[in-house]
Amino acid sequence: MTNLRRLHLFSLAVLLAGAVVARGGEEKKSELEAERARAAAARIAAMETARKAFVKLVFTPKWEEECALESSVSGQDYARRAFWQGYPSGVVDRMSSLMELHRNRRSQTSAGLVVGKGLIILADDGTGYEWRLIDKIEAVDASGKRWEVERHKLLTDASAIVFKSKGDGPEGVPFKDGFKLGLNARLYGATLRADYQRPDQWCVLSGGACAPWDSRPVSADRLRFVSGGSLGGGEYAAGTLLMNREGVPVGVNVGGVTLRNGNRVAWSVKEMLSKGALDYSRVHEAERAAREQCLKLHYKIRFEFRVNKEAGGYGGWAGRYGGAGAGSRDAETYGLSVGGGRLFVPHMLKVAMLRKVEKVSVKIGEDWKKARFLAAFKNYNGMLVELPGVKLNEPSGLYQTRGVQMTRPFVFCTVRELLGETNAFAKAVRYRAKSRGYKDRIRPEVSGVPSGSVLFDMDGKLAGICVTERRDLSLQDLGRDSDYYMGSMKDLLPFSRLKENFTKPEKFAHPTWKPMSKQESKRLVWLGVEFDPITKELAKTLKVKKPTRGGAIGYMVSSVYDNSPAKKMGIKPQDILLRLEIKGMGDPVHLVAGRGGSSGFGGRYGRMRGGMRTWRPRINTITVILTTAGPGYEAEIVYYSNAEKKVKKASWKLAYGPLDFNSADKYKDEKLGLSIKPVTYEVRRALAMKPDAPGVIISKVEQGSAAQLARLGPYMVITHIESEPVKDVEGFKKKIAKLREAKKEKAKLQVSIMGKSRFADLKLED
Amino acid sequence: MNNAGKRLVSRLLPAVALMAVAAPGCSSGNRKKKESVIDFRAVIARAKGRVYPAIVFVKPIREEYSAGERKKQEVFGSGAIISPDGLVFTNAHVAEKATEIRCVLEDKEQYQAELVGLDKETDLALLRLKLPENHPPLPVVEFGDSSKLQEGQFVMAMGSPFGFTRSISFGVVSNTRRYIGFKTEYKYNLWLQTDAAINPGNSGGPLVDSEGRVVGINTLGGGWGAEGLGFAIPSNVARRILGTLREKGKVHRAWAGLELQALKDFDQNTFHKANEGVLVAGVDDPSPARDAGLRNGDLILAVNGKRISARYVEQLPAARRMLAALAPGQAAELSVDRRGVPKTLKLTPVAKGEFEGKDFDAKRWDMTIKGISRYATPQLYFFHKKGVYIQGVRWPGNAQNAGLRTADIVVALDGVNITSVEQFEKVYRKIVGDKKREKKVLLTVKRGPDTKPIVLDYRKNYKDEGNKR
Repeated sequence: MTNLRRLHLFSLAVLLAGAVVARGGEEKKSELEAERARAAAARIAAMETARKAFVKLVFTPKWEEECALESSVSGQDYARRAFWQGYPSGVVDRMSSLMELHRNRRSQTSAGLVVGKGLIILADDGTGYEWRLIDKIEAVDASGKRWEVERHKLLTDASAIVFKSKGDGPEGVPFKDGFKLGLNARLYGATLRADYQRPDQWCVLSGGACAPWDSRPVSADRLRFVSGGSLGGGEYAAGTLLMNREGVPVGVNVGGVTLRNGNRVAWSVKEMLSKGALDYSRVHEAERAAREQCLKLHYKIRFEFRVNKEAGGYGGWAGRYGGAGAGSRDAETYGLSVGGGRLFVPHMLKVAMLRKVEKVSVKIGEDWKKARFLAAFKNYNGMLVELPGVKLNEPSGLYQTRGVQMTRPFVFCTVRELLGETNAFAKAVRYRAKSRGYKDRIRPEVSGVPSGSVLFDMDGKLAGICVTERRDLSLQDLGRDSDYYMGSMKDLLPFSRLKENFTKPEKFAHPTWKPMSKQESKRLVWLGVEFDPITKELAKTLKVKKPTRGGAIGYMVSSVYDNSPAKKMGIKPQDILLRLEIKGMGDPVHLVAGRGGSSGFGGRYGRMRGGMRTWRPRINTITVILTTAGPGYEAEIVYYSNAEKKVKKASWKLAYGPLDFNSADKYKDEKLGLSIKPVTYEVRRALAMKPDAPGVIISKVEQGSAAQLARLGPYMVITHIESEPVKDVEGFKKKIAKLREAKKEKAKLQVSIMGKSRFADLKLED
Repeated sequence: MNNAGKRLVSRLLPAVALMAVAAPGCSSGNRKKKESVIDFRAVIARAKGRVYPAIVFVKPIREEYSAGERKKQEVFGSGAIISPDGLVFTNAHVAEKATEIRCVLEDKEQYQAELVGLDKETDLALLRLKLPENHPPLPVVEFGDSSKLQEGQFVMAMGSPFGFTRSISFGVVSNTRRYIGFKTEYKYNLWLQTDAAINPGNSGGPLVDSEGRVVGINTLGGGWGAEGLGFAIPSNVARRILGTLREKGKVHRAWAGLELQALKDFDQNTFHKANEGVLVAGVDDPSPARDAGLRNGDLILAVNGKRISARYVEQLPAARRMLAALAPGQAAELSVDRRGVPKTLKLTPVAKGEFEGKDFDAKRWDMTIKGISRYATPQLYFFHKKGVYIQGVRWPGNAQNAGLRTADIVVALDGVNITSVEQFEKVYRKIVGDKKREKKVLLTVKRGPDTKPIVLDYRKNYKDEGNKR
């Protein structure tokens, strides 16, 4: 009974509520319709105005000797140099596309907005125009009428370029002044742009109503207002013309994104034109001054690499670093004199290459002077070298520089080798936006400025430098043997911010990114295990599905070396390594079974015939991660203990492992044609040699040499000379020297391979 | 066939020419010259007549373990009758692993034969024909004295190259004392080298001198790229070994674990100043030699008072034979020179085990298993002394799918440590016979110095699927 009454009451309530909603809906609907009609009318009005206000700006390119040459050789050669020398690839691209247009007798078209009688503005995207390649500029209105125009001014506050017609010009539509901002303001925007599908068809796009959301003036001294987000300029847009409901132009958006909310800044045309502007003669003068200063302050630097004969030279590597080409053993670039006889190289060699640097020299006049390597910086691509005892040209007021400001033009200048000569390339550009990057740092969005270029203000004064930020080492990346991260994260820094980097470089330098001896560069930080990645099947069979997450992560230890960190921490064969962390180096890395791992289970055993090595290469995922981090860091390993059937943690301090076959110094006796190495720990284990068993291992035997005549071969172990045990390479050298001194004709060796031994006569002299 | 014919002719012609040139030296006149040629033909005919009736075409059906499975295959070889009641010699590599041996005699009668014995290390085998009762005595060959052979002496190889029965090829003895123990397992004897064509199928057939006596047993051809390069076991070696096989069914040797090297080793360009004795190049660990205190560099001068020497590699087989002839378990006295200091050591050798391990076909897993032996697979033995290795994996197959490879040592199977083929077989049968079990098994595999667990999933039956197709 009670339930039934409740049901009735509920039904009644629903009915009543429905009636109220229906009435309210009807009222709202008519309001909305009226608003829609008003908006539609306003948009039509806006489009009508836009048709009159916009013109097409047609740039006709011309042929220019140097640009044509540069763009035609800008293929591979310069792509390679871009990697190392900070080549202005954006500029080259632009040059190339203009040359291409010229070859096809075509023009480049952008949208311009008429802002006064014969005055046209073009939204400046900041990357700079190649004015050298522009022959003629014309404005064409909707009716097809053409006027020849010329560059008038570069606006410095608004991101725009003003063109002026040479004679009579397009009228445009008059702008209304004194537009009042408020929350109820409704703005309509329109742009002119090429149809995507048919680039020769241009059309006016109306952006619809846009109500200011954040209507506060951006600053008190300039009349700017913030418009809604969707009225951006596209690739061809002259920003956006902003109109009121009647279709009367009130302002213009020329691009430039405010920092925090992503809204665009728009200008009242009157204000925009009355603010700062530069004649193009001033702009070119600033570019010229920048070039001059840069040529004075830059010095050519040469890095010479140790040639790795075993690896067959460098292949294309040195070539990629601006060397003479494949097989060359040096790389050249330019360094900026930063005072105190120091040169800042705003680029970075690949770490592996840096470690192979044998000599650094700087060109002073026609001479190459030996320089000292000081640092490779941790946080951005840059190296510092010092030239003791040589007076270099020095910049003045380097550490008083204030950097460059958003939307304001500045000149960048990059020095590089072009067509066999040192060339300084300078261009006025600007950046229009900032974004949040690594570690929440706010950085300018720069695309046209090559990394490593020096920045100047429009008065030709030093302002800063463009550097590429380096992310902290990520273990995931390290596992892939890569040391370049986020190479495009550029920042424009005033030199004042880099003062300490140049004066106290040791504080900012990476401890292991430096030229090293051959042996040091090959040394590996170790954990001291041999392992194989786990598989899904194995995880199931061994009942370790849970810790290995179904066999997705884990390296199963197959053996542990004596005196290794692993041994000391109690890691045993059959344990499964799961996760590796290096304190202060980003996130821990899961040892994902499918990736990396240790190569070559059983070494080359499967193909082994006497002279094949049977040990695995020491370079594997774990040693690569640990070595790139470098010794000294605290590391933690999470592993599954097979004995205890649980996941355990252990930590240790990273340190170089003992010398291995690869890093151990090779000794070559040229006369004997014999190269030997010590029997390193992994070789000893693979050959089942006791810790105290004597021997040195043969790494190479030259064709036709005395060693070959004695039938010696790689990976044989020389255990005795003249019945005396050979303890190490030094012992071998001494013994041979002694025999030579005693004018002995031959040395009687005892060699062994895979448990079989024999005697061999090694003829000492030819 | 035409080509072979041509080759024979081209080989004969210069031989004839040579004789013609040589002849005027001893006597004069055309008549004499003509006689030599006629003589030569007669020589061949006579020799042929003496041996030809006793030539046997040996056709064993062999059980082979290859490419990861057991297969039966008919192979061709040659042989010759050495006793009227039907003893036939051939090569060990012809008769080994045979499930059935059929022999075709001169009269085209085919008889079954049984294996009397074989010796891998000299590559000799002795068969006995299963003749019907009251079979008349068979023609036999006569052995010559191989020690009297001279380089350049004419010889004929008789047998069935590629199964072309009763073929004769002709040549000279190229070398009478060839040592081939560096690269092969044949370390106990020297070899005859001949340029008489020896092809597959010639194996086990006689090398016959101009008197029609068997001076060697053709065994090895020169291989790809070689021409006129064949090797035969000298008759004196064959006679000795066949006698042992007839008596004992196998050749017993003692093993001490010594690596010997010739004093003047031209192959390795290594020369010891001594002129007498055998150089110990290596001592296996563990081994009787090591227990006896022998060391690398020792010179063994005498064994039980008998001089032993290997000045050149050609003397190594004899030295090895001397050591192999010692009685296992009995101490022998070795006179040793250790860097000028004479020493007497007591060496107690053990019986040399089987040359190679047993085979087993783990059919369901598509792989074959073989025992590790220090003689046949020293490189595996180096890493693992007692156990089994994967002799082959079938493609496609379960073992291959699991990542198992030829020469992987199986350390453990399903948690059981494996030390012999028998044990592997037992565990295998238990696992495969267990119908309730999930068809997956864990193997611990050693490849070189590294050990790794591998799961072998054998749910798929490749062979059955193959049959369905």
